[in-house]
Amino acid sequence: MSNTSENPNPSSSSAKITLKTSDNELFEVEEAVAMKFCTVKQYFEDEKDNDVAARGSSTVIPLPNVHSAVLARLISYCKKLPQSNAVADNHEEEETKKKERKQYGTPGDLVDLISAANYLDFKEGLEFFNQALADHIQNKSVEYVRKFFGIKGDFEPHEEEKYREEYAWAFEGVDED
Amino acid sequence: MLSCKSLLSQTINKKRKKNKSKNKNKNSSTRFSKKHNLVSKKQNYEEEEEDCEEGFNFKTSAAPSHTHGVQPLGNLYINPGSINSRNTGLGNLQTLTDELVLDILGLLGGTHLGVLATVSKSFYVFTNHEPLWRNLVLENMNAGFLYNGSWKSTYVAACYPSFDVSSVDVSGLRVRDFYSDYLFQSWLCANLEMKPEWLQRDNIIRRKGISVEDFVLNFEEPNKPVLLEGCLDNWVALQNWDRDYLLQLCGDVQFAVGPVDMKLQEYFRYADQVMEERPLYLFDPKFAEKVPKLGSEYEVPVYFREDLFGVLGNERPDYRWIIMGPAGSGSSFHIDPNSTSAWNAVIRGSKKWILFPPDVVPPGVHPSPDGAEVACPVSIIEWFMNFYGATKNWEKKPIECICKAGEVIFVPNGWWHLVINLEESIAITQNFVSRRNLLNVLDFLKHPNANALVSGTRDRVNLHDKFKNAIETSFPGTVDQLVQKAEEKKAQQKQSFWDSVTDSKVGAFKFSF
Repeated sequence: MSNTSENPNPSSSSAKITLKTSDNELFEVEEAVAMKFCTVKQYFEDEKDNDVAARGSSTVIPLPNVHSAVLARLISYCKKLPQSNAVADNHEEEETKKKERKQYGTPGDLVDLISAANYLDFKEGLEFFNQALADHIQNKSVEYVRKFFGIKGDFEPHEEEKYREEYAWAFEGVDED
Repeated sequence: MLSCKSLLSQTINKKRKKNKSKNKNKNSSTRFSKKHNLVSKKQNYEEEEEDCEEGFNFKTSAAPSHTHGVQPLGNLYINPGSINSRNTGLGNLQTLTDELVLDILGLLGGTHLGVLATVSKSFYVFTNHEPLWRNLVLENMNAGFLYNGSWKSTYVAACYPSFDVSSVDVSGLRVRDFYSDYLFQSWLCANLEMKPEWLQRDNIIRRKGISVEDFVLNFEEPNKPVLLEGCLDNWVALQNWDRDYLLQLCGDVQFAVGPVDMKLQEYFRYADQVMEERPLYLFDPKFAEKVPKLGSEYEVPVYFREDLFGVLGNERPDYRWIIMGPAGSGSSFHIDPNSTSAWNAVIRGSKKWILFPPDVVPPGVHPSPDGAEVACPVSIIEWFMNFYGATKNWEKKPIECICKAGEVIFVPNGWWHLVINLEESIAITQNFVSRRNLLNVLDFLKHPNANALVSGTRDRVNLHDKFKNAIETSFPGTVDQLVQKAEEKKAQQKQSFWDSVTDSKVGAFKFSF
């Protein structure tokens, strides 16, 4: 462990960090954005301790579990993040948030974003995308959910009937497809 | 996480079959006679001794919770050719970890979960994860609930009274080829019996009939735990407090149970049926105000009569609790609030204690730097499974004991402790400040983060000043005296250290006192 106080290159607000995705794409992002990903932050701080950061912006942080397409979306999401992180306190705000969440389309995309946010330990993003996915299946019919996630029902017909009976109480408020 | 999961799984599966018929017999005998719980448990230990060396034993005090056939992931690799129906039934979601799938399901209401259960077998298993329903019940029914065999049917019974809940859970789907470590371990932790080897170590100092001076000099002053026998002999509570008595006295009274309030009779109903990893614990600081008779049927043991927070009158932080809980309930590692010391008297049942001194953080525990938060992410049973073994070879071994009915344990301030009830237990605990820890407590309250750390009082900010002033008024000069004494002691220690160093340099032998 070297002495960090001797580091000649203290990070400034305009500093950039380079992230390398699973498909070997390089992303140069602002430090403020990259630091939202705790996994990156941890890596960066460990490197700093090891005096690697002293060599300047040549540090490349590898993200072997994140594809470039997903990272690009995560970064653009980060840039749009509202400054205040206050919880929506009125109905209108909640509706806007819901609309915002709706933009993140297909379940496949959302699952990728959730996995990446989880790997990067990006808490705000994880909460947001989890909620976006939950919004999609709230109040939906069984058939809708199966289609949405690409699931083939694996109950025998008589089983399915039995379970529908067991859960009859749940089927009152389901939306039309 | 369980480290040798896949290895274990085979033994466990074998054992599950083996224990099944046995469990059934035991259920019928234990369920109807709660009072004989202790006896039957003891028999269990003896009967199952031969089983112990190979794996784990399962709880027999209530019906085992449903596994739906979930197996640990390791089993997938030893069953060649099998597919994981967890994945096929999740579709696009299959790449997410079990924890993430459950996080997403945790954002949904009960009806949505109910609909999702019929999407596929995999969804059925995930949406039946009991902690999801427990959260729904605790979030939505803070005025109490009637526990009904499982959290799911408790929820349905409360929200859809017209629905016949007897048909909930009856089908109990069993899925073939469903492999998931998280769900399996969760089920395992909910159903495990404490292993006898976790209970063996007993290295606490026990004392009977010592004088108060002896206690102060040898335990309170040096801040060391001790188990005191025979000092509750005159407690009416020790004779009277059993279920029947308490139900008659206050069965309708609501007590604090985790995040909710529950009538005592409803809590017992829950405690009789519960089979989960973290059973709800009745822990009420206002019991003596609610039921004055409870307060009058015990008295503070003679060793703990000095109670300096008493000078604050009604403004004192919470300081006494009645504690009740079924086998398996308890508290994971923590340090008591406000740097107070505590005593805990067992009236019924028995508790396993593990204590670490203030300078030794228990394995698996990660306190934040300012001490504001103690993150012990694992449950008690998971701690035993994954961390207890690590302490075996530690130089600073924890202090351990089983505290039985009629016994009192002294928990010195700053000590980490974990407590688990080995059978249904009733206890009284009090936290206190005496002259021996007054300076500690004042220091703690002065801490810049004190308003975040100080617990059990409404007026957190001024507690330090209020307390110090009240002490000055009631016991003028005490704080100064204690500070002076502490400084003298410090100086003395330094001096004797210096003496010893110079002595060794000179090479002469000399006693330095």
